[in-house]
Amino acid sequence: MVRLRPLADFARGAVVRTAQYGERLSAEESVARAESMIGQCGYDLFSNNCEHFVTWCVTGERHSAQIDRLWFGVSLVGSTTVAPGVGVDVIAGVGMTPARSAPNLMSGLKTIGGGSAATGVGLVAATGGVLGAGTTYLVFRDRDYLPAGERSARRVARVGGTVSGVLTAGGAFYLVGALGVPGYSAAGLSSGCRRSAHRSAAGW
Amino acid sequence: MVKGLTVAAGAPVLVAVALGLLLYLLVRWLQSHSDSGPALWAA
Repeated sequence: MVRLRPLADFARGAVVRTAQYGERLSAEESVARAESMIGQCGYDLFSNNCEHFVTWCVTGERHSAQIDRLWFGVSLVGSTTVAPGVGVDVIAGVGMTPARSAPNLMSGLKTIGGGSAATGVGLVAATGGVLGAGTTYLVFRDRDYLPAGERSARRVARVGGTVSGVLTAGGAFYLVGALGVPGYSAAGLSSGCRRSAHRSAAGW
Repeated sequence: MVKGLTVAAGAPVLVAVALGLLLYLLVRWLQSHSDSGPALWAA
């Protein structure tokens, strides 16, 4: 429940830090918004926590940076563990036989690549790059009311994440073709995939 | 080959997100060492 209490009672002897905002409502309007909610309930950790309440009072938008960080962790784990496995299953599913065998995966890669397994590998790597860049954009998206320093740091993160996603996708595509039997033939792609997995497992 | 494809798809995601986070933390760290830091209230 939203209650009006003296700052000293709230802090209980601890130091209270003040958050900095970029574009924000006036102090009078922020206080009026807070006072209008006194007595209201409806706390929800993910959609209406104390940080949502404060940003709504100060900026007019409900937002919680702590929940953003939580989703960042979830999306990072999900996109690096679950998503690639699902992608491989999709490739295996569109292949000729329902198994994760190399011939079937090659068949699946050819199907999604429009007849070219190399294009299929490129699409797989590009999908990873888009997922990574999208996650970075989502987590570090711009908001008008953030301080200038926070906004510039987020801008650098978005650009860096996008560029590195594109470069790594290109690098993964190149390595699959270069590590095995040279080239993007069926033998090259399948042996390159196997060697890239071995090198990854070795920790390079 | 399954692992190879998983690495091909997962590496761009991991690198993009990790580098984005690293750059963000680096810029914030540089900013905190060039400013006087956030204001404090003694409760």
